[in-house]
Amino acid sequence: MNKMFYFLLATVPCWYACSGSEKKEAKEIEVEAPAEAHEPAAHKMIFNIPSPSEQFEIISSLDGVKNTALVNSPDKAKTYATEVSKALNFGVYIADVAYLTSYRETSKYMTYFGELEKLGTDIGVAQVFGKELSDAAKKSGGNPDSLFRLSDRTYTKSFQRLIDIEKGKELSLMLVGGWVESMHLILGSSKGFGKSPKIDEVLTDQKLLAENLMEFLLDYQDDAAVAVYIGKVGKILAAYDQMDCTESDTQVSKSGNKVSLTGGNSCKMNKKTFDALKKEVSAVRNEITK
Amino acid sequence: MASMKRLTTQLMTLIAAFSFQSASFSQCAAPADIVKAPKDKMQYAVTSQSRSGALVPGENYEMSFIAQDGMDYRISAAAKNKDAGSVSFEVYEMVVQKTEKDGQPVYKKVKKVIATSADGENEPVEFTTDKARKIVVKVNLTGGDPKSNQCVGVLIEDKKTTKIGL
Repeated sequence: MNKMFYFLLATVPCWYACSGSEKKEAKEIEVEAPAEAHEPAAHKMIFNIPSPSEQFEIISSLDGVKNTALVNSPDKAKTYATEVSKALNFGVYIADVAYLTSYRETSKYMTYFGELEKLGTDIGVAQVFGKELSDAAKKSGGNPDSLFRLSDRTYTKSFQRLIDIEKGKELSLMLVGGWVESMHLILGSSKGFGKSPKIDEVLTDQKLLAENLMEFLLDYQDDAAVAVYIGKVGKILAAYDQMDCTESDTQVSKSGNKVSLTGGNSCKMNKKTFDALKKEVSAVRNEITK
Repeated sequence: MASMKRLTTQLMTLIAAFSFQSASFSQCAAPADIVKAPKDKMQYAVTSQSRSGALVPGENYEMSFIAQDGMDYRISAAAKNKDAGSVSFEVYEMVVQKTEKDGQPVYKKVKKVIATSADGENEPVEFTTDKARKIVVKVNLTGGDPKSNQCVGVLIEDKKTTKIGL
């Protein structure tokens, strides 16, 4: 996995950081050995990204605009014939439901559930949850507090169980579909570069998610479909190379029991990057949802 | 309210996506079933980036997660069985350090430790960040039977940062 990662790192020289306080140029960055000689060797690292709903919870309150026309129509679900397109669009629809719910478009998101169930059954991930969850949901009687506690656990469980039952390939494609659709929705929610500064920041932060997604995908690179999407996500990541970045030390301070983190490497969105992201995301998204 | 929206979304999505029989495929219970979150009025919610897994005593395990701008985080870790040994963890970020070699700038990624759990005490680590960051949690299980895997959970909770000031 590491070899592939460092290859990608070499082709995308500015993934990780930016040079000094001056504007950065592509440069080599050595990575410090993570474990010291006297420490036991660490096992491979696990990479996580926030769920679409965790992201849209924040994004929906920012300076973008709601545009429900951006979501993929549930009517198209029946046209997805291959395992790969089903897994990718399963992720797309999860992101769409998260987006619609964050804007309280309840009548619209209800139309997605049947299609999600069918796609989930077709790709063999539907058995992961089910009775346990629907029983608990029925018991909750729609009580928001019960739903609140229940759903936090179930999202995490689903992720882990898909790996446990060797559905890592499907999970990888679902995560790609979900992330690409999230990017499409974020870009589409922007009033344009510079007109929604908070959305510009969110787009900048998505680079970190893309890096962790890439690391996750590399574990399943032996699968031909996952390998194709490693290349496509890599291309979107390469668009971030054009951002304006500066460096400063991360400051760690403590007040009571809470640690505050400030500073550190920082990048800013610019029009060139914004336009490049729009172009690359649109191309991949259209290919997934066609 | 926003957290409730998020959770309702997750629930509704999962009901639709994962119907049919319940199964006990997972090697370990969910993180929230292993780690008891502190009972307080802090309004933290468990995030989807929490994880659990089978660990071998004496070895390190690492997981990377994305801390989002405008959120506070609380990290806790514990073993499922009380006699499994002692769980400790370190929270760090990889940062780029600029040095010079033969008059030329050299950039190196180095580990910046943010916090560590107190030895023998399962106190959670709380932090807040002014921007999105990639954070790593390194977990270590010590003192248990080295031949026996133990289920350990890492619970990552978040809540919106309270803005201070008028």
